[in-house]
Amino acid sequence: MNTANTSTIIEQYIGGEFSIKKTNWVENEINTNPQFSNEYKLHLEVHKAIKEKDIMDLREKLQTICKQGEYREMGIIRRIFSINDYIKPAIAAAVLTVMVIASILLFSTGKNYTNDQLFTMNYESIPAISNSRSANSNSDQFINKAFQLYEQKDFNGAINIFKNYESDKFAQFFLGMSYIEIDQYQNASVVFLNILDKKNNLFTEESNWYLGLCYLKLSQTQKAKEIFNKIANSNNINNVKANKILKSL
Amino acid sequence: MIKKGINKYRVVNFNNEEILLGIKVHDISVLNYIYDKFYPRIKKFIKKNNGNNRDAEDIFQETIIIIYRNINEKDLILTCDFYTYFFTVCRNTWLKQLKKNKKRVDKYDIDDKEILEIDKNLDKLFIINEKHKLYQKHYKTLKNICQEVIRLSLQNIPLKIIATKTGFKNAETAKYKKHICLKELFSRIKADSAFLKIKNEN
Repeated sequence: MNTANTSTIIEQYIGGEFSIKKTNWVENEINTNPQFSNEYKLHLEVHKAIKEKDIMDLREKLQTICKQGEYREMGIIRRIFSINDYIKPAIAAAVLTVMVIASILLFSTGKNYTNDQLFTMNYESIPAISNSRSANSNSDQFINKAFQLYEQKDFNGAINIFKNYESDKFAQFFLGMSYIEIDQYQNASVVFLNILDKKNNLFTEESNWYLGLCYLKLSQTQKAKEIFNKIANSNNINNVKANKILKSL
Repeated sequence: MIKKGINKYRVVNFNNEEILLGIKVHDISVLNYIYDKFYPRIKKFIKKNNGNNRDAEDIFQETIIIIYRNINEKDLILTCDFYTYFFTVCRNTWLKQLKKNKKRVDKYDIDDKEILEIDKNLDKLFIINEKHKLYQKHYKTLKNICQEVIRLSLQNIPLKIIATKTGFKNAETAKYKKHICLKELFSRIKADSAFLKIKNEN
C-alpha cells in the first residue's frame, strides 16, 4: 500500500465512509502498523490545524498590521497624528522655504511640458506589497489574492477583487492604483474621489496626489490645477512636486 | 470594553488585562498598539541576532499567536508587565528558530531554562504552532474551492449540502473533489522541507 493510498483510506475512515469490516481493519492497522499510525496522526493534526479558522484569521490580521507598518515606514503613508504639534510649524516653515527656492529655480529654468510628460515625470508606481487581511467573512479571504495579483502585475485580476471592498480604504487605494497601471484614469479618479470623500484618512495625501495625476492624463487641466494647488498649499508630502507641476501647466 | 479612538497608537495605553482580552478577541486597536509599542524593540533584537526584517515580522506574529493559544488554554494572569512576557516569548521563539537553523546566538545569549521556567506550556505551544502554521500555509495555497470543500467537510456538513454550497453537480462530485483536494494538500505538506525537519525532530 503506497502513501497516497494510505492517505485516501485514512480520509475515508475519518469521514465514516467505510463498512464495519473495513473500519475494523483500519483500526487494527492504526494499532499495529507504526507507519500507518503516524500517517493517521498527521491527518488528525492537519484537520485540527485547518479547523483553526480563528488562528488563521489572527495571523492574517497580524500580517496586515505588519505590512501596513512596513508601508508607513517606507513613508508612503504618513502617520500625521504622531507629529508633535510643536514641530508642525517648523516643518511647514522648512517646506515653505524649499517651495520658495524650488519656485525660484523653476522660474529661472522654467520649461513647459505636456500633461502626459508631467504625468510620466511624476508618476511612481506604489511598490508592490503583498498583504493579507482578516477573514471576517468568507469573501474576505480573497483580498489577499488581490494583493498577490497586484504584486504579480495582474492588475485586472486585482481590480476584480479590490472593487468588492468598497468600505476598505486600503483596498480602495490599491484599486485606484491598479486602474492607473492599466491606463484607466477615469475609473482611478472616481476611486480616489471616493476615498477623499471620507475625510482625514491615512490615504488622503496619496489619493489627492494620484487624483491630480489622473486629471493630467485625462486632460482635465483645470481640475488638476485645483488639486495640485491644494497639495502645494498644504503639508502634503508631495507639495513641492505639486508646485513644480503648477508652474509647468 | 476595548478602548477605541483615532489616537490609539499613541495616546491610549492598555493594561495587561486589556491587552490579553484584546488578543483573545483579535481587537485591531490592541493589536496595533502592541505592534506600535513593541515591534521596534523586537525587530532590533532579531536583527542583532542573525535575523532580518522578515524574521522579525514572522516572530512578532507567531508570538502573538502563541500567546493567543496560551490565553485560550488557560486563564492567563501575568505577574509581570505585558512587554516582559511578550519579549520573553519572542526571545524564546527566535532562539528556538536559530537553534533549528543551526545559527549562532552571540549578542543576547540566553539560557533556555530561564525562559522555560516562566511558562513551560509555551514550549508545547511553540511546537504545535510551528506544525499548524505549516499545515495552514499549504491549506491557504489551495484553490479557494478546495479550501471551501475541505473546510465544510471537516465541519461534518453532508456532502449533498456541500455540493449545493459550492456549486458541484451532486454529492458524489463533492466527495470526489474533497478527496482530490485533500490529496493535494497532503502532497504539498509532505513535499515541504520544513515538514521533513519537523518530522525528524519528533
